[in-house]
Amino acid sequence: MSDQWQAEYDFDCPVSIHAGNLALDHLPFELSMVGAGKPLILIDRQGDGALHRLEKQIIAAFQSSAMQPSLMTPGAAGPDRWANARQVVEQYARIGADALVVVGAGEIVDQAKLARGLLSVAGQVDRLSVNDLTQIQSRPDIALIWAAGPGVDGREASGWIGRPGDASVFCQALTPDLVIIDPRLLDAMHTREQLPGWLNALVWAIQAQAFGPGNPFSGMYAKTAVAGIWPHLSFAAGSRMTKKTCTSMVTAVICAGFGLSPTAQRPVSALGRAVSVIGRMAPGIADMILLPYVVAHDAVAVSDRLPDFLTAIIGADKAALAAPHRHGVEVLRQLYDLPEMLHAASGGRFPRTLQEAGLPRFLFDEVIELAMPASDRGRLSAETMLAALDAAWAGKPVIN
Amino acid sequence: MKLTSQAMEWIPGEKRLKHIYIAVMLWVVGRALQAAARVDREIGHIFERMPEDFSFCLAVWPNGPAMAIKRDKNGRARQFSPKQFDAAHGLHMQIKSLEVAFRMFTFRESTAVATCNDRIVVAGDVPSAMAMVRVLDAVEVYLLPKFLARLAVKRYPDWSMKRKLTGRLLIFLRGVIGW
Repeated sequence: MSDQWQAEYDFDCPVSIHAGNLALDHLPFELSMVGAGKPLILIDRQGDGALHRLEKQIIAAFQSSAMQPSLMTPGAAGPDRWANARQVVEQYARIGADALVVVGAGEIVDQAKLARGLLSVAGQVDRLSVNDLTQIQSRPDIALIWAAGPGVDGREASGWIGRPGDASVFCQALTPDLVIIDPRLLDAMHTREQLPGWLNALVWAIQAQAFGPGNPFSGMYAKTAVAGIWPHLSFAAGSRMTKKTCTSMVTAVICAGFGLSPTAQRPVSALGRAVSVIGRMAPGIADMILLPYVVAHDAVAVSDRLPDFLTAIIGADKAALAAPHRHGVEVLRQLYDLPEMLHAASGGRFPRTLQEAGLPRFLFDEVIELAMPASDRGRLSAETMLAALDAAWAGKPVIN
Repeated sequence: MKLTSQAMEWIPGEKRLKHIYIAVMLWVVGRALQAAARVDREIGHIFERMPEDFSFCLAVWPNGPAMAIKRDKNGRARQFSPKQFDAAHGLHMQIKSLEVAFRMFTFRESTAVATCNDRIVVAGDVPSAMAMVRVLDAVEVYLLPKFLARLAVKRYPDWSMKRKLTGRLLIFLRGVIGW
């Protein structure tokens, strides 16, 4: 590997990732390795059936483990993440827990990260703010373990984009110590609930290649992820996935995480996360709708980076038929068509535009205001964001 | 259990049937290992080359069933109580959970695949651990019919029929009488 590539791919991941069948059964052992014996397990608030199945999986994993776990489903305070995290901190202290285990994905993981941050800094929990979290210099003593079906947060530091009136945070204190990815956890979730996760990973991989430093090593992972996710999306949207397909998708999602890791600029995720927060929709869906509209505004990305994905998306045979100088545009066209295909496969449930997703136009200013600080080092100006949001709202492709 | 926003403490149950099954399997393997070291020249050599105070324990974490074997003064393998095993000095091989052990001892996952899947933790000398895995594989070949042994070991050995049949018979006999 050349020095230039090494400089672009300085990958230091402090997170252990255990992925594979029965990985969840390693959880008690891994907890003991970090000196924990009384973990507080946070389970996502999903539909009753899904919650029951998740709970059963966790209870089974702790059988014969000689541990004293506790279970709770935070979120009684509604969408207020800080209130929910404080509730977790309060329960953590009440039962004398020594580790946090979060099961699920999305909002609950952010709540757990925040709770861990709050537990790691000295002071009254009620008075702590985002600034206090960013002061944490070393890895906190309290272990945070994330057990998930499809996702992975194995980067060198994690964060989230705050809700309106709430600053964004990006620091090591929010990174889990261990991520356990067990495809059996997917059994507990309906395929429809998994789809935003797959889309999120697809967007990671594509924007990693489109806006990243063009590193062949991470690019290989990005292309593997796209080739692994794209063909199965219509099945996922139509709830026709088999366990085997789910397992291969999990591998693709891990590849997407590695593909994204050296990419500092993530304009699609920045705007998509703001849309998801303001519009109250899954980040994966917002990202997917926005992806082609944001990418289309970057000529370099379209002409130089996107062509690499054509084979992964439509296969080598069809890619050979397209004129080489049109490969980038062809990928963009496929990205524009993807929401339409998902809409048809899901029987009309998947929104094709931001309008169908329920985001009112008058909230665009609020979205841009929230996305601006995290728009990844000025990659997108406010004007570009507005143009992308307008086009994504109306569903008007921008193809040159 | 009804999940609420209040943390609910619970005492995890035990998987008694699986525990009993693994305990029986480990006892049989330990007994057979002791016999195989006397019957099979290759296994006997492995034990003879081990350090004088060598002891080995295969257990299920945290306090599941276990099997322990040591090298005696004459270089022979001898089964002993896992409670007397000194983890600080011997070779301690732990399977991460009872469920994983059950998967291994029902031959749905071989030792090699289980190691790749990070299901086994070893504390002690790595070359000795590799030697013991070879010994366990050989014992499984002796104990199990070919269709099962192929699932349990990485590569089914190309042994002569005489070695397999006489070895199997002697190991079963010595295993029953404990010598």
